[in-house]
Amino acid sequence: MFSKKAVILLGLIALFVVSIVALTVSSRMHPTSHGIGQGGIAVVGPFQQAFTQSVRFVRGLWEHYFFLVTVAHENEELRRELARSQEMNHRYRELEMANQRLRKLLHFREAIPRQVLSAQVIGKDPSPWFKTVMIDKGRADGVDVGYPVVVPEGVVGQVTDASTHYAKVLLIIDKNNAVDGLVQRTRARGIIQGAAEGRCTFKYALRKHDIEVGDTIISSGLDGVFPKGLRVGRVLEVIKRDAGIFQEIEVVPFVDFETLEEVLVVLNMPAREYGAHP
Amino acid sequence: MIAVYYIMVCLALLVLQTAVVPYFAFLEGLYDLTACLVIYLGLFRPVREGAAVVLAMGFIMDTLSGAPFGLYLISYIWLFIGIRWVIGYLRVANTLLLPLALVSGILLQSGIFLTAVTLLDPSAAIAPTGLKLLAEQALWALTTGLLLLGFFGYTRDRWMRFVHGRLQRNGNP
Repeated sequence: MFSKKAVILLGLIALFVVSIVALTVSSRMHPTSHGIGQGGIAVVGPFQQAFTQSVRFVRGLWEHYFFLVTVAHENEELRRELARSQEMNHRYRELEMANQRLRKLLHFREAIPRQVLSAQVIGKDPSPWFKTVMIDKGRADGVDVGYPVVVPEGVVGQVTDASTHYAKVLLIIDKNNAVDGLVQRTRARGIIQGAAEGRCTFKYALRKHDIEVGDTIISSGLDGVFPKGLRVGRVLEVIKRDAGIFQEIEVVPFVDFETLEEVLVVLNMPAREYGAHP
Repeated sequence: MIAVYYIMVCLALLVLQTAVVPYFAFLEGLYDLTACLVIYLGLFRPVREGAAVVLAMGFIMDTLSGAPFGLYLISYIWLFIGIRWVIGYLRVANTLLLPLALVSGILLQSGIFLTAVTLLDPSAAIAPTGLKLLAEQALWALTTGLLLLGFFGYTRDRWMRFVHGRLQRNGNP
């Protein structure tokens, strides 16, 4: 009686109408829970929960892992930065100290009316029995045997050997070294000679001369090596024995030879005052 | 080729002794490291090899030090001769006698220096300081000397193996 097409069309229209009615009815109903819904929720819920929690766990783990990795990287970077900063800080401090030392040396250099050459100490004597240091200036720089070496604190020693670029300096604390000296306060003369344990002795000072502990010994300039007036050391002990015409005087040098890093070599020594050298 | 090894070792010891050790105050009483090499040469190497190194090293040390020229050379020669003489009678190169030989060698060399310093300036009262230094050196030699001897032996063997390996690779037997 009806064609197939007409049946399908009618079915679609009926479905449309039912849908409209159902939606209209359901939308007007009060939302109450009912058994089927609860059962569905009860069954599906745990799976949902398990899945959701798993996803969250994995996501959390993933995110935290990456977070930790990032933090670890950041930490590593910060540590490196801190180390760099510490190293730079140390370098700046070292530079500041070198700057202060060099400024002092420069002021002292300006105070000496002769040409001086600054040099770095590069090595010490291999033997504990002898006191010499090596400096990084030699004949090519104008340094020669016999030239005095000084620092702002006082007399260091004199050059005993020189190669083209390096020189060996015999320190005043070596037993083989001697400097003609004066007691600054009383002008008493004597010879400062190296002694044991980094000290010196002030020899040939007459008993009659007034020399006290704490007096400053300076170079007299009469030895033809060291310019006059350079500080050498401080009197530590004075011994006047019953016999003998001289007194025994122990002197502590002003220069700390353990921490010696930069020195000045006095170059242009006038022939009048330093006849032994050109 | 062995000369290259000794040049490197001598340079390393010299730099260590003159530029590194002075920075550490607690090493003030350390013995002469190159004397340890002389002892090693005397104990373990043929006379010809040892004598050449001893002479060269003594000369270099004399140029670097403020000691009277020749003092190092003389002390090294005597040390070398002393060690060679001792090994003619005793089997020193075993674990028991080796530390003794080492300390004796170091003390012999320092004794030569102490004698020389005293003779140079009899008025200088260096005996108390000198004896204290000798004791410190003996202690240092006892604690570190064997390691240094071992180091010389090990590095020399490694060097020779390296050199022979290179020669064989280049077709020289």
